Amino acid sequence: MISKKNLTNYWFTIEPYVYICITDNCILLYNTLDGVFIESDKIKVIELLREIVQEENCGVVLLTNEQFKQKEINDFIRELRGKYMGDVIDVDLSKGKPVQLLPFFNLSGDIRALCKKHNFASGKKILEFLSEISIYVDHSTNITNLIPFLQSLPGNLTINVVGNLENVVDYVELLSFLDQLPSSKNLICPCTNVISLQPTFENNFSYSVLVHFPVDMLQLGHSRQLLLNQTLPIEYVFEVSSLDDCQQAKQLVEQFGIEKYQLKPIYTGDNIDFFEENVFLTKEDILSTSMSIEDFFANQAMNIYDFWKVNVMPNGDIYANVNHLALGNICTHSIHEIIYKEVEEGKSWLRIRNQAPCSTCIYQWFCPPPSDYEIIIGRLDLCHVKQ
Amino acid sequence: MIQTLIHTSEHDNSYMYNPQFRLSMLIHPEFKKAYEKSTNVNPYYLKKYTYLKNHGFFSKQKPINFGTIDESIVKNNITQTPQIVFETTDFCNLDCSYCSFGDFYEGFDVRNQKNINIDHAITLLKYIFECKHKSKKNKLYISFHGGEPLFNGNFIKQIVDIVNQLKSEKEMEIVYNMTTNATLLHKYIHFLVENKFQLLISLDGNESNHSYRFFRGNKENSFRKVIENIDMVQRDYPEYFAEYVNFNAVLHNRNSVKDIYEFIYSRYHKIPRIAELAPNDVVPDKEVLYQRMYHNKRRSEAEYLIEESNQLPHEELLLYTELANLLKYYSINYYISSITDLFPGEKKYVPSNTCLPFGKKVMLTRNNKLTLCEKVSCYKSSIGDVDENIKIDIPEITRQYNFYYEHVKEKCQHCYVNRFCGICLFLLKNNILDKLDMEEFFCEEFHDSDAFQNKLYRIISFLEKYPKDYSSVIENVIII
Repeated sequence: MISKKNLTNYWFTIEPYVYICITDNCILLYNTLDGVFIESDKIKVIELLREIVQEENCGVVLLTNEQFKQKEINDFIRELRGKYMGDVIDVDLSKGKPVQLLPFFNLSGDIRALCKKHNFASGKKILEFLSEISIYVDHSTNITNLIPFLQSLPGNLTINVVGNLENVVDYVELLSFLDQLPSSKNLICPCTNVISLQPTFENNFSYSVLVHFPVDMLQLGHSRQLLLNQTLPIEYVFEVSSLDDCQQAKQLVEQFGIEKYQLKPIYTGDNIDFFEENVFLTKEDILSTSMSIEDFFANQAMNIYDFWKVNVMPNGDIYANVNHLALGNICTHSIHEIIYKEVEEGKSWLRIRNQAPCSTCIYQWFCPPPSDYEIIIGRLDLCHVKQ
Repeated sequence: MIQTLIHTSEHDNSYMYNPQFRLSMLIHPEFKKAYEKSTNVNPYYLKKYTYLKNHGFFSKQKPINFGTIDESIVKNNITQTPQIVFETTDFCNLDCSYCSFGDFYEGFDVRNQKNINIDHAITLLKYIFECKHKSKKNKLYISFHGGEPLFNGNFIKQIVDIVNQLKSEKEMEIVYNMTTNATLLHKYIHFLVENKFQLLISLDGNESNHSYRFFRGNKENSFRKVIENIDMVQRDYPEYFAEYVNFNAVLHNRNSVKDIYEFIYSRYHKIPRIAELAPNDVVPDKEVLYQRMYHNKRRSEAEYLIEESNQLPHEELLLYTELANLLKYYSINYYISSITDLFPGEKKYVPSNTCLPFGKKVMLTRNNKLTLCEKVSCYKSSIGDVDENIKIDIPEITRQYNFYYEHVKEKCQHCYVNRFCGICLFLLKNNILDKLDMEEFFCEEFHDSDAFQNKLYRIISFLEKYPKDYSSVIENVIII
């Protein structure tokens, strides 16, 4: 006699905190609570997962007793339950089919429209979200045009001033203006161009000192001393293009007692080997990064490197990303017009990893959105993953 | 204290909802037992419970970071006001029994057959246009409200003339709209068609259903005149009628959702908006009469749904709207419509969903006051005055709003729908907002755990019946 237990059918579901990715020949489930994942290329498992994301199933499918007993399915469910990524519930325990509110990740086709609808609809306060502006300065920077433009911006954004301030006519006037703003102000320049700010300007300024290789030790030492005489937060950015540069940067950090620093890889056109070894991601790198459901949404929705940021060149041209076309000029366009243009036509804020070869990769939305490296190197897949 | 809830559905399935993560999760009944600390629990679910507990599922929810507004938000809203509403006149040729300016209600300006001042209206228009930046993508709604706005049709014509002059300079798109009782349509229809006015016609159903809407003078039901005019528009301007005319009905004890829907849909092929009687500011000695006339929309809709032949579109159901709001604001898919919240950094909310001044619209009354909208009495929401100049006290408006926020946030902190409740503070009953520092804030929509469990039960049961609604809401309501 067959017992009732052996005839049980089940409702099968995936937990809503699990990211589900299905390609033609494999599936990847990633538990956003602990980073544990399951990969499978078993046809029956792929079919089951395809079924669960069907619209009419709303995250739950009927698993017949016969299906449940199939080895591929049974092994998969055992692993899934062991990792708390899904479950089966005896259908006799309730009066009808349940539902599961899974994250809806099929967004990529509509991102521009979606972003416009929810963030740029009439009446929305778009300027509130602008988070950062980088002002590139040189001898051609016109303070008379720049300051009124800066006055039209919201008060809470971070302001980067990039370049040699001393080349700017009336740079003291610019600093005086910036000093009055409550925003964080970060001066980004090579160690050769560091100037003393305090005690005249001391309201929320910080320094990012760029260190090129080969290093001018005299200049580095001089600027270091100048900065230590002030009490500003300082970060050193070592622009490295080889392992030797990295090694030397470490020595400099020790030698000068530098507390805060970063190594920034620079592509020179002939150091792709250095990038492949040190910058390109492996599958292990990708999967070892802790990802939340929000991270998956973000990677599908916006370019976190560029989003809500603008760059102003010395001639007043404004870019969302300096590697793309200008959106306008501070003399002729308001910040509203610039933002609308970027959302309507721009290529930066909404640049996501939705093009080949990444678009067919199972790790597509695990990877951060394309950065400037992808543009400069001219390829999207800066990784060792072979599909 | 807001915490993770377990709830069930009509199908007797069990679910868990975590407010912190906005996560609804189907659970095994054994898991429910583990959560309830019952005996004889399957050990797997005890482990699963511990696993989720270790990942913060049953921790105290972090308090919501309720913020305040600053003057720059109000200033910015002024420059981006998407809609200007003119209280064209306070006179109406109808004397509807339930009118929010009638005997039933208190707290509005006395009606004395006064028209709006055209010069002041032009001052406001010029001010708002001046604030707008030039862009073909800008859209401004200009609305005419009453009384019956067509009783002051000349004003409307003058405003349209002025707007047509102003709009070319800013290259913006203008959309005119009006709520009307339709009794005067025959006099202005050519002008309305020419300027593509979006009309919202008040019609409560068939003649008997419409019988609270009678003429002020002879007390006759306005139905026949209204129908005569609507039929004329449909007959003589069929394309305009199809695209620009819609209906709004008030639900009361002389009609039902079925009556309204079947009359308007079968006669005009339009899906009407249906509103209950306004609940706030009812005169105390009219409360009994109000209760007699009041007809609950959810109940009326449910009665209609029982009939297999009901023609109610699924997407018009209250439960569909509730599901849409749950998915939009209280599910993990919240981020689809809140992309900016994906950006790192602390998120701030302001309590309630009270519109910020100028955020959605600004209304100029016939008494030269600027108010939030046509629904809120100007006693409660005056945000400025207009004469030869515009007088908007931005610091005072900001202070006032922050005062409200300061005194309601404690209550909101304990409400399960505190991230989106749809509540306008000005429309809540039983509160005197200016005395919130002395009197306890009362919110009839406050959701404690029981109320929220009931809400989840209702919505998830609905979704179990119509599982395709999940993707349909996301694709057609949230994304599109």
